[in-house]
Amino acid sequence: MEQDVAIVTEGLTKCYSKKSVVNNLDLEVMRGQVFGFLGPNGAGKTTTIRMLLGLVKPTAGKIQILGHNLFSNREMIAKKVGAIVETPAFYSYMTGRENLKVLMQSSNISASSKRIDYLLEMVGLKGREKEPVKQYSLGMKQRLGIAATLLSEPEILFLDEPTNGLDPAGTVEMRSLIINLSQQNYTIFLSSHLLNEVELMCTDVVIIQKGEKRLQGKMKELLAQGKEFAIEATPASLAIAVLENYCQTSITVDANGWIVFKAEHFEVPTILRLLIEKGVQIYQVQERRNSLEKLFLELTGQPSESFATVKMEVSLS
Amino acid sequence: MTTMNLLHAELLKARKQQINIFLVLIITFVAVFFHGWLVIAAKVNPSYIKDAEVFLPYYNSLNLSVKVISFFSSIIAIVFVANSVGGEYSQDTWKMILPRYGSRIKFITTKLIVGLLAMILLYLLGVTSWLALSAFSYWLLDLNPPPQVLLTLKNGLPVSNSLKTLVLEMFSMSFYGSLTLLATIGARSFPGGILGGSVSSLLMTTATIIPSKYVSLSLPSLHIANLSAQWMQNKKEIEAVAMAFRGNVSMSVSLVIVLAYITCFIITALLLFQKRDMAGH
Repeated sequence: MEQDVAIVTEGLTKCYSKKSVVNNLDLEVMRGQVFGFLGPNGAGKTTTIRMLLGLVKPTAGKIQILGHNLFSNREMIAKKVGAIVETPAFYSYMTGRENLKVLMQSSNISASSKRIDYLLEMVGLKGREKEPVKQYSLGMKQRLGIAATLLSEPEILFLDEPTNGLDPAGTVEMRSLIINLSQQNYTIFLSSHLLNEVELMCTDVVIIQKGEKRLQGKMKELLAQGKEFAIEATPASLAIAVLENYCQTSITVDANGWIVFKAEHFEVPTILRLLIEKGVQIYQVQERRNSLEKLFLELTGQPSESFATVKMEVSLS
Repeated sequence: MTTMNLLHAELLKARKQQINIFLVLIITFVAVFFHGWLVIAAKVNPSYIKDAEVFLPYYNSLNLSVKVISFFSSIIAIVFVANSVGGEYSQDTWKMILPRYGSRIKFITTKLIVGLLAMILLYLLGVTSWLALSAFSYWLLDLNPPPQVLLTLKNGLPVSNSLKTLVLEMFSMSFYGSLTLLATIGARSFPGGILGGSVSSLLMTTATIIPSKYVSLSLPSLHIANLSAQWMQNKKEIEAVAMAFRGNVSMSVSLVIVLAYITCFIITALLLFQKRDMAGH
């Protein structure tokens, strides 16, 4: 069982001048998972990732990567981990290929042209690798960042906001790249603001706020919780009365006049039959899945406007 | 201490960094300007031929090149180290390279080794190109070798003196390099490193005027001057340094004091680098 665990943190805490940024965080990421790490701005996501990479020392707590203590096995673990922390940083005066060469050697691996060529091809930078990085667009830098994370053939990838600052086309490209990686059995630890992206890509998710874990679980199970259905029906008052009687929970009516109720999937035919028997006219039925965004907003109490833009970008793309 | 892979990575970075190319260009420019001016002046006005006969022969050219490059040595050391370490902070590239390897200390020691290698290379390149330019200018002006030059060649090349100067310069560069390393890691930036290195050097130079024996004895720059004067057996300089020290200080004492400073700067810088968080910008 222990061999299946990629990342474990116990009581991970980081304080800056007595103010805790990450507080007593327990995480468990299994091998092969695409693990979504969510939280509003300032929740402590990047600090947590920096601690997992050994860039920041925790004030308290334990970190185990691939079954080994991070602090006593840094050298061994470093080769099995690839990371993009926030915006990928490169040596702007060097070409993309030279940057990969330097980063490969910095992993204490002899630079291999074959590996570099393969990765450049994979991230779609073949043909542009001889240009200085200062001439690259943000999207190209992000893709070069992904190539850089894969140089040492790692087992775990930490991707901190990999779609940050990308235009819609770049976001779609990055999403397909990450999905492609997830199919190659990498363990991916993905921090992102793009909840739709996380919902599409991640198998598991944790939501943190103010440095504390608010929720962790399987994406499918979380989304299945509190499944809702909506009907367009008249008379609405009669429909609501029937539903309240059957569901024993409060029934809501959304802005478009849809009557929304919670029920299990198998109960729907019974409920519809009952409504028709009572004389309710039903025009449409919708299944409303719980979205990650809704779950996130419920948990963190964050205003949804920061996500409106994100949704618009995604729908445009 | 380091690995060949890390050394290769640092050498590639050092070779590509524009500021290092700029340092080479400055030295090249000074050499080309000096020789160009001397040749043109001697062609236009024959009275300058005497100057050319003094400056261009091998022995004098070697001495002059060493003095000119030595003039730039502390600046070269400060700029090189500040850029090598501070550049990683400025471009936020530490976050890309540090998670790739277990030991932070190895990154810094590799940078120091590459720094020393680059400085030796720059020094040798400067001296060699200066000598080549002198020989070319000598040929252009069709000079007759004065008796002094014949005497020098007859007695063999002054290699030992040049080597001594090179060792002393490397020692001095190591001191300024380690001082700048500490300043750069302390300030976590390239400008901070340049400022820290330059201001400390300036303070050490101006502190020599403080009329206190203890202040003088604690000044590493004065000990470097003492080492240079005594090893090169330059009587005038020995007297000047003794006056600044208010007494004689042996070479071994100066050597130990400067080495202690270098060790102290490097160890403090490494500890600071090892302990600090790389929290980004």
